[in-house]
Amino acid sequence: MTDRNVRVVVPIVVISGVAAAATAAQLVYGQVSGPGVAAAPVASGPSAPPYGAAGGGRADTAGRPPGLVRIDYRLTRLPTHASNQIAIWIEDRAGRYVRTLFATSFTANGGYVRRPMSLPRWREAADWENATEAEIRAASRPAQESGEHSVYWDGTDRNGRPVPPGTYVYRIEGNVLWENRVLFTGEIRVGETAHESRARVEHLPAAARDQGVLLDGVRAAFLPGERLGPARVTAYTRGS
Amino acid sequence: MTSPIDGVRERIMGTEVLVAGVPPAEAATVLAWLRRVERTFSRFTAESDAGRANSGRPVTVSHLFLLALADGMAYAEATGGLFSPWLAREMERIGYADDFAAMEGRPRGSAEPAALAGGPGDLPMVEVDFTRRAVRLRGPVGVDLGGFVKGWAVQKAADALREAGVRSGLIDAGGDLVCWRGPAEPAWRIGVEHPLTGEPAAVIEPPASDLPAAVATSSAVRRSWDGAAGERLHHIIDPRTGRPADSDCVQATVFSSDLAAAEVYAKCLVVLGTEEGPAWLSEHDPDAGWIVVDLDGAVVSRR
Repeated sequence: MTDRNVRVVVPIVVISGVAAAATAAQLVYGQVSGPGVAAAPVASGPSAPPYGAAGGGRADTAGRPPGLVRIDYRLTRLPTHASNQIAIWIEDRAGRYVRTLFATSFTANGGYVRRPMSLPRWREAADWENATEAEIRAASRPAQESGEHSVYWDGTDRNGRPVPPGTYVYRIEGNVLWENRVLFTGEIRVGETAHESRARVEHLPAAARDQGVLLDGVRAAFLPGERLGPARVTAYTRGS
Repeated sequence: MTSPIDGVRERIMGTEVLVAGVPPAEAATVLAWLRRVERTFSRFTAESDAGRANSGRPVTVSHLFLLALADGMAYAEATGGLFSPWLAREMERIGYADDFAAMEGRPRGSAEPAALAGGPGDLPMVEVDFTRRAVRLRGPVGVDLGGFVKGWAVQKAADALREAGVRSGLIDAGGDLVCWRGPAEPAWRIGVEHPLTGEPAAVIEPPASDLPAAVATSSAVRRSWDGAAGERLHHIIDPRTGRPADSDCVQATVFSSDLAAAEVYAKCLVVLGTEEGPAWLSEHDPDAGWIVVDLDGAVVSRR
């Protein structure tokens, strides 16, 4: 090893100032996260609605959900006031609320008191003003950056109980500018076979169409038999 | 080599990420976090903090960038320079200037470092002001936290989930992974792929523990290619020479409780070789386990 080679690779490093610190929870969740944040399924809460009308049937004999639903969407953050709040939730085909998968933390944690125009359709469907602390923690997440995103529904309701096979409705509501909103609605079949769908869009009011594209490309896929459980996983390490 | 895995997969940071055994909302949060890390640290995009810093201009970087950079610099000091976050120019010179999957068919690089012209402006110099979040890289030097930050970010995600009460989970970023479980949860099984045969060189089941189990592997085989002069090149650079490591170790796997540390130590073992490497690691982290594979395919381990 020669001095020349050392100089090629090892730079002179000049450091000033003090490095700040952050906990893993602050980094990953964007906020301080206490015990119970991952309390999904929620341990307690209002009684679940009867889902029989959604399509009949029941979860498998082990009480497990029949698979996994992935909801994909593209978010484009808008540099406008009172925008970028979104919520994603599931209803049964009869319009009964099943579960919230994602809600921007400002609105999920009571921001609607200051901004009543924040996600009113979702708040009404979920009766969010009466949501339990555990429900709020499970659904609340920091505002997402622009880009492609996915959320997953494991086929359980707000109480963590598997839903029976049937057709379910997924919705994404977003605030585009103040009270101008966009609402995507699609149906996904949960059962023994794979299913995919694209959501249709409504602008609320119609003039919201001219306020920018906050969300697009909303679609869902049902993956039968997929679960997020730790069953007999083998992963391989092979050099990265 | 693969078996059915229940989990969520997505291609992030140039590799397949698997998140398994955690609730769906948490899986989505982990993937969103790793996408954010990719946007911040990718040296393949001019808009990232790493890309802007590598432009040579004085730039303001994110808090996230500085956190990982500070940890990377601490490992550089702790390893006596066997690990370095300042090898971006060397990576470019050897031809690793794009996402590896996109490199196929491109002109290949050279192992030999260029001679310095010798003027003051030609000396590599790094200025980091943590208070003002300012970074300036002068001369022939660039920042590359690539593999390190992947392990660092996966560890942060696992720590956050464990702090939040998730009792069991696995986050696997292209074979560098963290898993954890309580006594009541089933064991995770981790296979170590042999670099020359593709068969399992070992399979381990980390015990239930208060600490996570982190496993990282560095390989001089997996991401390798022919250079412009016909020499075999790979992406594990020896910071002492600026060339791809040429020890007798073609693959090293390290088991630790922290994936960033495991990632660093696995690289150091490939740099040092199958004799000096394990001896060095036993001094730096006596609790770490390791498996090394030499040029002939022989496997030696301490677990």
